[in-house]
Amino acid sequence: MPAEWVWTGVGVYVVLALAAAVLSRPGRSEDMSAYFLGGRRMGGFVSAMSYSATTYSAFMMIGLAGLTYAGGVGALGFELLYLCGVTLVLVFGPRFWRVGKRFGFITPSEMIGHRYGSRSAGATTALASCIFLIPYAAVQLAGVGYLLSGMTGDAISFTQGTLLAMALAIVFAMVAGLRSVAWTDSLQSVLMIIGATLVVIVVIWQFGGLGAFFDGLAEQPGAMSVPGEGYFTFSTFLALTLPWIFFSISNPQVSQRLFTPGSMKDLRRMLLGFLVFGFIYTFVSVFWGFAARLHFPDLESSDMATPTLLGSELVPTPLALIVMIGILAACVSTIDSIMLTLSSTLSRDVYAAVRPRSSERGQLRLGKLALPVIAGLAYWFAHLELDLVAVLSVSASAGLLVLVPPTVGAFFWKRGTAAGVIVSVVVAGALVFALEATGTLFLGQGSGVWGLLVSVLLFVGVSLLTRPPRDRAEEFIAASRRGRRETSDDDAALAAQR
Amino acid sequence: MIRTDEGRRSSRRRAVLLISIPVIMLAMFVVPYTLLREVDAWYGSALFWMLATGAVIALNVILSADWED
Repeated sequence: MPAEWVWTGVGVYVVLALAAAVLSRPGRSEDMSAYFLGGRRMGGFVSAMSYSATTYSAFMMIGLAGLTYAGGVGALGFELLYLCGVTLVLVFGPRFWRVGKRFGFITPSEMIGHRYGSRSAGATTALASCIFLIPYAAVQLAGVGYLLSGMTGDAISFTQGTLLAMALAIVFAMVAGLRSVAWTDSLQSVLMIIGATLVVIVVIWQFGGLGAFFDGLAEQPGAMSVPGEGYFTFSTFLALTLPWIFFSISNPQVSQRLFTPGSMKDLRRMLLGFLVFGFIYTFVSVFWGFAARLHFPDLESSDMATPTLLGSELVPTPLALIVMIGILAACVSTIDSIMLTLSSTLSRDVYAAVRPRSSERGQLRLGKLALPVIAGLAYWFAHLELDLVAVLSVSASAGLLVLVPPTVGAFFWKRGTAAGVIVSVVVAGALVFALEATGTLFLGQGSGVWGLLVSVLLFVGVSLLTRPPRDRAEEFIAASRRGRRETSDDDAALAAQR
Repeated sequence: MIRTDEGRRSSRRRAVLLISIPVIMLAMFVVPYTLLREVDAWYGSALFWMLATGAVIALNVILSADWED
């Protein structure tokens, strides 16, 4: 595809997205809740689209399609298991929402710090989030680089692609915080789901119908079964899947979204809207991987499956351009959400822990200053140009699995303690980091499996040896269970006290 | 008394539906690697995973139906 076409498409997208971002701005966001949580008044549809855009990004259209190209149908099972894992929102969503409203939490780390009666516990989980999420954001930047360079035959370089995504993410996050991010996300999600589904229809037609498509797959033994050709051994499948099953509560950029809906009905719309969106999107991404596999069997890197398909004669150029811009926007929407979450985490949980008397306005100012710094770090990681986008992405989320035991314990185990949180997060987090850095597969299992196992054992073991904050646990768990109507009278007073 | 029994029945039904989700997910790990291991076609693991996910989404719809302010 000619670079001029791509730049024109990017230009149109930037204008539309900037308009959405500016229109989303209800006035000056002077406090942390307004800027980072949209004032806890986000509607169901925008929340669902934004949750989808934040979750699905370069990984889906490039990474998952690449994984299908490389390993066959196991990629479908892996991603659908992740989607089913979002059922955790059924259990944790209302609880996050209630305690967020009652205690005025801005970040999941702040919630952990409050529940376990320790700012250090909150700061520890905050730092762990930063360490593992910045590489994850880098994966998205690398995705844009692969996409643009692949589709234009390097007329737009990897570096130009990553720089463009970084600049857009900074701008979208700075305009109006979560509101501008959510509105640009929604624009992207709607564009993407329509464009990507049209590509599937066009490609099936080009193949000569669904029957011809499946006949083609039948000629590739192992493509439609696991372990099939050998890529998806059970250990690989488990190592890829496990971190993603817990994604909705382990990754703060999505668990923070549980604080944002305006009502429980909006929370429900967010959950169900996301599940339907995810189901379609997964099918589409896997289909692309199979289509590339059939038509371009000799690609050097599986990450090039999507760019090659979109750049081929199978897809009309205007449609390919729309989808390519959609993927670019998907990467940006994930990066800006991560930046927003990390900057709120740094200002609320680390800066405020070091300077307890800092004002809300001071924390907000620091959060905004942190945005470009986080983006710069992600840009640096992206230039390491690691090979398989999907594997790196999952490695980053494997590290965040260590946050699962403290989060589950916060709502369901009164005996949990701050020491249990700190020790489990630090030791299990370091273990995941060491396993990833050295490429070690202990007993054939991935780092996430060991990280989760060790963090559960340490959280339970150390908690049993230390004294729990019983009153705080009682109060927190009761607030998470009670309905909003029962607590509404004292919500404002408690939030103001904090 | 009647209301209490109804409440208990409703809680039990809810618990059964909720527990069926991890059971379905466990099957999504086990069945493709055992029963469907040799079925190398669209009606094998692919169809199983998609139907199981459809069931999980339906359970989410049912179990969140009473979410109100």
